[in-house]
Amino acid sequence: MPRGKAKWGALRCATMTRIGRRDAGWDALLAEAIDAALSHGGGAAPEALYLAAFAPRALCSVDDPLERATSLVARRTGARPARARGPFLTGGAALFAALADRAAERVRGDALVVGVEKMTHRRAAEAAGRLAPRVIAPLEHAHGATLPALAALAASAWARRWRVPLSAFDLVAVKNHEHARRNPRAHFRRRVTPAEVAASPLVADPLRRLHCAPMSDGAAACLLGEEGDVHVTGFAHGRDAPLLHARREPWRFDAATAAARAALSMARRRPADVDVVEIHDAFSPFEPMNLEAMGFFAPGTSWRALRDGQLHVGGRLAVNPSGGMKARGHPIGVCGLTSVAELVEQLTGRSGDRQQPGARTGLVQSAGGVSRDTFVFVLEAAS
Amino acid sequence: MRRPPGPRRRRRVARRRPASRRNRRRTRLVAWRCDRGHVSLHPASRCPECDAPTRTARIPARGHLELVTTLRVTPDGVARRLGIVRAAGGRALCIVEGAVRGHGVDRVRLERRGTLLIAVARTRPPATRRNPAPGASDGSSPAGPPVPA
Repeated sequence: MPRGKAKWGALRCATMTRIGRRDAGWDALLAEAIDAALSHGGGAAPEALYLAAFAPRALCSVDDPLERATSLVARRTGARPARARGPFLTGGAALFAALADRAAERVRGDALVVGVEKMTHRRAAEAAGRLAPRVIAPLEHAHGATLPALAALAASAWARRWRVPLSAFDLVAVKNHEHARRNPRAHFRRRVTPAEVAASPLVADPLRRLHCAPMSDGAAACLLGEEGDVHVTGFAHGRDAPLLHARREPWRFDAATAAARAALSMARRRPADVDVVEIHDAFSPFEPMNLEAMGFFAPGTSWRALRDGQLHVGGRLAVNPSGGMKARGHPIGVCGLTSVAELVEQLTGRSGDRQQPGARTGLVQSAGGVSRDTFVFVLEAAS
Repeated sequence: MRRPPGPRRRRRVARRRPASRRNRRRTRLVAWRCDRGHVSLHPASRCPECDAPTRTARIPARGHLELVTTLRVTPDGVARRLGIVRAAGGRALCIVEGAVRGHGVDRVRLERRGTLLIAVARTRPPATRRNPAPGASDGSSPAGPPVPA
């Protein structure tokens, strides 16, 4: 159990706005997250600022996102951060950069990591068209591939290889919607049934609409310092081939395997020591695939644990207690930070109805594309 | 039985017609191979697997479709099918045309159209007297063996 000063960094606070369809614009969401983090952190000026925003220019015509964030922090605290980096594509990448800068002693004081995304003012097809070239490789894009199409190929390869019934995908969506019902900041707070998921419109065979995360608006921030309630005891980055067909097997998430192995080894923990995880589930089958890739279950077995209720809050390992990207919502650039905010609440016992009993160690996974880049963070309660 | 007397007649053997240039092109496909033997079916100056330099090679334009998905929701609103095809030891993303079952058993013919790789389902050849359809019988002889598609 970590005590005193954190070796790599401690989360003094982590906050997130309500996720979903928001009337507030890009700047207002950014201000909401920064204000919440600074007020929780005592209002002191951070030494460094890290911004995550996936497509501020393409979606919101924001050409200078980092300058806007830096100016906002300066107005609130009276001092500009000495170091400002971004925009990173995901919150996980921004947090990783902040931790790496601390580890290399480029930053010694507090670092504010903030992510913001505004997506729902665009029509879904239009936003998907603008985002696709940033998410998938040009070759795949030229063939007309979309992210759901590549996810569908990977998921069907996994299901066929390990003889997993396709109905297991439905169970993931049902579980995450059930968790999100207890999360006041989630995008979807309604229960869905397996029959409802199975009857939802087909997006890319075998993925249906209720297997896919929605587009959401939202922002999240965390203040990283030397002391705090939750310590970051391990962090790592894994990378896989950008083209799905160039990988060893389309169903293998080697980036997740490498990142989880390195982060857990850094924290001197095993998968069995983890009580609660927030996992990348932009598409429902990714949740069991990532769990298995990161060593929590043997390949092809995690869906049985899900069926038996072991992955629900109160089970052996609480997976996505916030509702995950599927039901909590998926503002792309913020993901990673929303998961960190959820785990900080879990590890400090402030999660209310969705609290995993006795949660002391948590793991956050943040991925981009079809698990091309994966960031893993191991978080532990400080006392 | 004894051969009747008289000059020996030479058996006439039909000469095989040379394949047209178009057909020759259809049976081979340009691929990119590195020294380690990794094959890329998409243009690549460096190997996507090991980053070694590649050189072009001609491989049979046949493969089997490992995975296939039907996209219903696309930016242009037109449904299409994509798949991952395996040929000559390499794997590639491709557009799928024709009727396929999608259980990893479909054999396809590969074509290149511009920068795109197309997998066309190989249909069963038309039934002929020498090559009868499976199960078909003219009453005089039992049906021949199934013809591989």
